[in-house]
Amino acid sequence: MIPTALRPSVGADPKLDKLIRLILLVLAAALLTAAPGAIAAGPTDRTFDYLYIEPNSGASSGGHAAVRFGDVTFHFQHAEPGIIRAVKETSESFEYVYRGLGNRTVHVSRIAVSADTYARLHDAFDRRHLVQQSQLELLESRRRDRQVLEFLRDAAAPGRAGEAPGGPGVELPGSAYFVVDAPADDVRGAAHAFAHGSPFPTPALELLREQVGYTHGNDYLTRRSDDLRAEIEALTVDVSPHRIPTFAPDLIPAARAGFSDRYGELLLAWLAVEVLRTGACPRATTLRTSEDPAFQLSDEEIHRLRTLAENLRTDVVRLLGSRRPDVGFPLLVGMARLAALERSAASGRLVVLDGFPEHPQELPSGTVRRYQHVLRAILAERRDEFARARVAIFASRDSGEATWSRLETAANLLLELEAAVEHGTPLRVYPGTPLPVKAVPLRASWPRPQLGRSALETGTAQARRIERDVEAQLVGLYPYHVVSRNCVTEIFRTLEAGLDPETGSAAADLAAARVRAEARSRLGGHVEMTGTANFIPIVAHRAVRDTYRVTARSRLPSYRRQRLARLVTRQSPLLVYLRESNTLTSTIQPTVHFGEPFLFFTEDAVAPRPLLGLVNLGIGAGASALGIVTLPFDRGRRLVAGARAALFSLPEMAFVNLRKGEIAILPQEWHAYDAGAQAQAPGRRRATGPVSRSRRARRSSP
Amino acid sequence: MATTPRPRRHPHALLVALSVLSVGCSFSDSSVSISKSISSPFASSSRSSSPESAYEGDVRDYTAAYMKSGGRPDELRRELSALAAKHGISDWERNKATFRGIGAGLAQADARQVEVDAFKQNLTTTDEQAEWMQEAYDAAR
Repeated sequence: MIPTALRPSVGADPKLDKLIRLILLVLAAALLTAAPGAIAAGPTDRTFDYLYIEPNSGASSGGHAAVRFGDVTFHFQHAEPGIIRAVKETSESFEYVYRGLGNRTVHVSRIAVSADTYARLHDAFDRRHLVQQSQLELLESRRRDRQVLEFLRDAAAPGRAGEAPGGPGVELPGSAYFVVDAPADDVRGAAHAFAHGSPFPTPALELLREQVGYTHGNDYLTRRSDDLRAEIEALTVDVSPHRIPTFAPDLIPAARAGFSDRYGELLLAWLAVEVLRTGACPRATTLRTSEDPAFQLSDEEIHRLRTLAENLRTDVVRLLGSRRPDVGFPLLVGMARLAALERSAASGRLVVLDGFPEHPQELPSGTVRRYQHVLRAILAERRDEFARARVAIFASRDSGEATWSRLETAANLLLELEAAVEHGTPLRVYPGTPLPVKAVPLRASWPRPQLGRSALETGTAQARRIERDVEAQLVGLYPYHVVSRNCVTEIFRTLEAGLDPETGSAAADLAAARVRAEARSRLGGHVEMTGTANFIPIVAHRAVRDTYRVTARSRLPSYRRQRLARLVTRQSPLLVYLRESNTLTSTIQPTVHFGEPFLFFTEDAVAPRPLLGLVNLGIGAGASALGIVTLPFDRGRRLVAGARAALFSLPEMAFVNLRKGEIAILPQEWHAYDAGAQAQAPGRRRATGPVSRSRRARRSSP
Repeated sequence: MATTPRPRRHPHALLVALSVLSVGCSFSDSSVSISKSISSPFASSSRSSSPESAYEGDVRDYTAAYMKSGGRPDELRRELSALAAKHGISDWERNKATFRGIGAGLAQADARQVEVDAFKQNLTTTDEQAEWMQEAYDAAR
């Protein structure tokens, strides 16, 4: 390592500088290469995996790359707004998406490293992901600032006061458990928006109100409500550009809460206090249960739920006195859960909060019917998941909120899928958050910052500028480029940052020499990105195998390959080959998504590949020609699909296979799933309809 | 010891590269979105472990990165809220894993005791919470 004090100063004499730099560079490289033991690389007692994922058609034609550290896999994807984004997920989830649904074989190179190197590299990927995630969240926050200010500006416009409901991005999570989603006719205040006159009483919330009075004083709720309203009305717009930090790839941005964050927090807290103060009760339609025996509760379980309710009530009372700014959401969810627990104990059936959005996306009933068999397999998984979540709550005395949320989510997923499979109804799409976040939009009738029209106009313009600046910073720091900044280059960039965390502070040529030396010592060699074809996934894969200290190589077969391998052990290989070679008779991929029309799978057919590719090309060209005719009716969908099909047939004519076909739906335990055994008539193997958004939400009330 | 290999001629790779020119590094096909849209948020590997322990690990990693970025204790509060929500926790103040994760993260970032005290002062409201943070810090050092 070259101490900081010895770094050449730049600028005094360029020629001398260049000479000194060159000497130091040579010395450093020589020292580090000749004496790798000087770096504490240590014994190679840990391993991590470099993954190369074979290409497929569509958005994955170039192949893909990832790095796996045990249960966690990191990779990079092209994402909005034109950036290369770090993704961290469980290795199981990664395989489900890429090997299962994506139907792509994964090649694994296991690399031996010291414990120190392993920790450095894992930390580098974790850090890259965390930092970028924080920067993206800051962008979201500044986007919300702009949206909320636009909403306030519009609501304050002459003649429009109280009319404008909030649009996307200005919803209040947790509010919909108490607030009716009918904003247009409600302009008088929160109490009129609350759900009163519920078909069942909620003494739990009355008891809570008494306890709050006893703990904090009888007029506490009124005082708190007034204080929160005053605080909201006194909010000012501080969207000055100096509040946005300069982004760096290794630093979490230290930005304070935005205007919308603060307003949203205060408004949720005010809503929660008002719910309790006015004696509102949860909307009946936001509570769910089932006649299914799995939801029946024993006396012992009812006793356990009553204990949980008592603990929750104590927590809600404490929360009302908390100084944390985001107290509103846990208060609303806590109160709604109290009502659900009370209803569970009273009815002897588990009642949970509905976790779906008010206006969710849906899988149309036609799609549900088409995938009936695989959905039944998923339903079995959901039942198991629900049973495990039940055990976790009722078998343990000290299960926390996360365990309850898991039960709540499992119940929601089970009830939704059961209704869809049994009755063929559309399937609502779960938002993916493990907390009940049902929300209604912001209302103009609720407390608002008392800002003049000109302040709102200025604030909105500033917020728009800041949003653009933050986005520009993100794009500047992580620009996606198909050659220089892609899923491969970012893996090696992050690896190198982990090998030598001080790289960024050194001069470029010295840093490069240090990184090369560290890579040789710690990984067995250095994979060069500059001036090579290593940015291509398959080339990088070979470079890793030729360069790094690879101790094992393996291949994780795609879903189709895995199924084929099993089939040939039971049936005639020739019969299997003939039947599975095409999309008409294949039993392995009955749920294949025919976004692109083709006939032959050419992955296993090497010699006849050009001929089969020619047929596929013809089908693609034919679909394109038909697409020209149907252009006015399908907005060019068939034309594009045909053109893509033809495009991905061209490599086949040169013995290169890219297209493997995809799988539309698979159970989580996809390794053991036998789609062929579930296959029905070939008529089922058609393209799915798009996920639709419906304003109708189906609910089963207790 | 291996050195940087010279780029080789890859006829297949060239074809792949041609395809890369149109698309790459994404995975947004509609078939995937259908299955992902109805998939369970619980991976089977996480089914066996306690959800609280996964949360504690995430708090630890975030705190360490936050500390290395020069973040202030009072601003961590808001980040904790978002982190907890991803694990099904709305009331993070009551959760032991929150304070244990912060303590372990501070140790991971090589924080000094005076910095631990600053986090305790800003983020804890009870002696018990401060003890959880200190215990985890001491254990991870």
